[in-house]
Amino acid sequence: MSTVANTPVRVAADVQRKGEAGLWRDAARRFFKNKLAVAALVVAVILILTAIFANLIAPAPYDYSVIGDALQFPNRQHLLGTDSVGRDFLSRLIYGARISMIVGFSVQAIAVLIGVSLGMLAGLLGGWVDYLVMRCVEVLTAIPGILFALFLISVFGGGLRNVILAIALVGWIDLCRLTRAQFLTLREKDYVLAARSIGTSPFQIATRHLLPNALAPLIVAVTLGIPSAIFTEASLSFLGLGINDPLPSWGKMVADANSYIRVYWHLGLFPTLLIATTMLSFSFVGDGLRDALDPHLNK
Amino acid sequence: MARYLLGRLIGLVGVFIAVSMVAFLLMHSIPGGPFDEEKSPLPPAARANILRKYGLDRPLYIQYLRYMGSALHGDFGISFQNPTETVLQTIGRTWPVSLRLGGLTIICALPLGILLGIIAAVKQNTWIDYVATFVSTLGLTVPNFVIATWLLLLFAVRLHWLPTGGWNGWRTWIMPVIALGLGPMALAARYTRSSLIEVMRADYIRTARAKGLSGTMVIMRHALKNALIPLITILGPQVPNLVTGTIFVEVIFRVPGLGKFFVSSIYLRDYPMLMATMLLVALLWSTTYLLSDILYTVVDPRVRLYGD
Repeated sequence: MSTVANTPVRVAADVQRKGEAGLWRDAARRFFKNKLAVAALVVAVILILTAIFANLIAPAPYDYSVIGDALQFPNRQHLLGTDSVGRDFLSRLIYGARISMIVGFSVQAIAVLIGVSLGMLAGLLGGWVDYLVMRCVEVLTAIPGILFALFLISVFGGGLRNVILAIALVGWIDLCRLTRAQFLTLREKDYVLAARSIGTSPFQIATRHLLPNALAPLIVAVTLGIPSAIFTEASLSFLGLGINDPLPSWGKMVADANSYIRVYWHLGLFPTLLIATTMLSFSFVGDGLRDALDPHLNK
Repeated sequence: MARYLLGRLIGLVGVFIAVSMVAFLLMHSIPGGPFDEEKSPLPPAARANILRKYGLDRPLYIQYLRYMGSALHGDFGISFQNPTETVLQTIGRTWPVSLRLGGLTIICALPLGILLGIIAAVKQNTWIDYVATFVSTLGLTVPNFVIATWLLLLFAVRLHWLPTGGWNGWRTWIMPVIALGLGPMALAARYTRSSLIEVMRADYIRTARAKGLSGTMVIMRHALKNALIPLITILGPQVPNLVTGTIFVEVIFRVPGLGKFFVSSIYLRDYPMLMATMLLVALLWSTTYLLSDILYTVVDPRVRLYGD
């Protein structure tokens, strides 16, 4: 008796699993056909690996300074020269990758935590919860994000942790809006009605039915959020309101280079090239993911 | 329409009040004040006097209400870093510089961006399209201080064509305008391109072609008019965006505008100055959003506002 009852259920589950795998496999196939996106992915992975293994790759520690070696042009001993207090510039650039990646990924982690959960709550419960969340979003969007981050930094001080928190406190807004919008459209679907009619709890509907279906645009948004967090960190540090010396931040290095740039061009060129490469590679990966996951192109 | 407008305006005022409260609270939670011991060593009685003069000894909500009260009369107090001027005078002196920079940028960037977008759309998937796409991606993703540094390295350090900074004469305007304008130009180009490509597939374009109009004619008379509509919502908010964008460009090129002043206000904890700039930006930002929404319904009659 029990076997008879179980069979159709199992079949349905198998079909569903196959369908899911197909969706993601299709997306992966589309992504890997996009040459630009794949090239960008390779660059992004190299940058991430550089960040992870910075201590193995870098020829010197980021804060090891020899005053006598200050302001050297690229040479055999210091491949990319030295900065104004005699620190090996290549090593600082490599460790700078680590700082950028730490900021990019942890900001997105916090932003997902705040944004997705608030967006889920607002989209699912509606009513005053929705009202409250949306008014918060509205107030925060009345000022450009970077200004708000600047304010938070000026209040709570700079440093790695505060920079991450300040950027994350601004960065959750887009994710929140996106999740809410997705939930508002998805909750009208028939399968949600079906789930509700067999007594599935709202929490289960949200996590088992709505979230997986809202996942594709969220993945794209998070991927594109990483370069935008790195962008903001570099900008804050550029103004001297972000990462503090001796920690190496590319943005700070550009600002420091500004006073030496007439002669020591390498101090300005290399960090800006790295910022640009990072931004471009992550953005192209994000764009590639969007094209691959976009349901409108799924025909 | 009237009801919708009224609702939006009330919402705008609400947001504005909330922003001012948040900014006020944040600013006053900064540890340390402008008249601290190490900055201005004064006898306690004199300090108490100064604190009373600026109202800094009163409870916070009184300070807030007082501030907003006089702000509504156009009195934003006296800038701490520039005690000979009122905040309004300082803004009046520095903002025109930023406005000119921003205005020049819009005048150059938007037509160029739209042109670039049209070319890219017409020559879709040729090398011109790829170059245009690459340039616009660069402008959209790379911070403008990076672009500014490259311009400096190329035109000032390498070629000696342009001065490295300052703000006197058109030669000093070129690099700030390019650095600031690449982003908006990129945005205009990208949206013109995708919107034009979409419009070109519409039936009325096929009709126009079928009746024998030339390619340029179809694009200019029929396609472009409709393709540029979505640009309004996207580019409207770019206008106040330029205000924040100028911060970096002004710092790097030493332009004596509001952005540069804003940064020094943060370093020096110049509350009145910070507060006034913050309110100014919030006001600009939310009104442009509202205006671009209204403009959108005027230009495109298919769009209806809620509450109509």
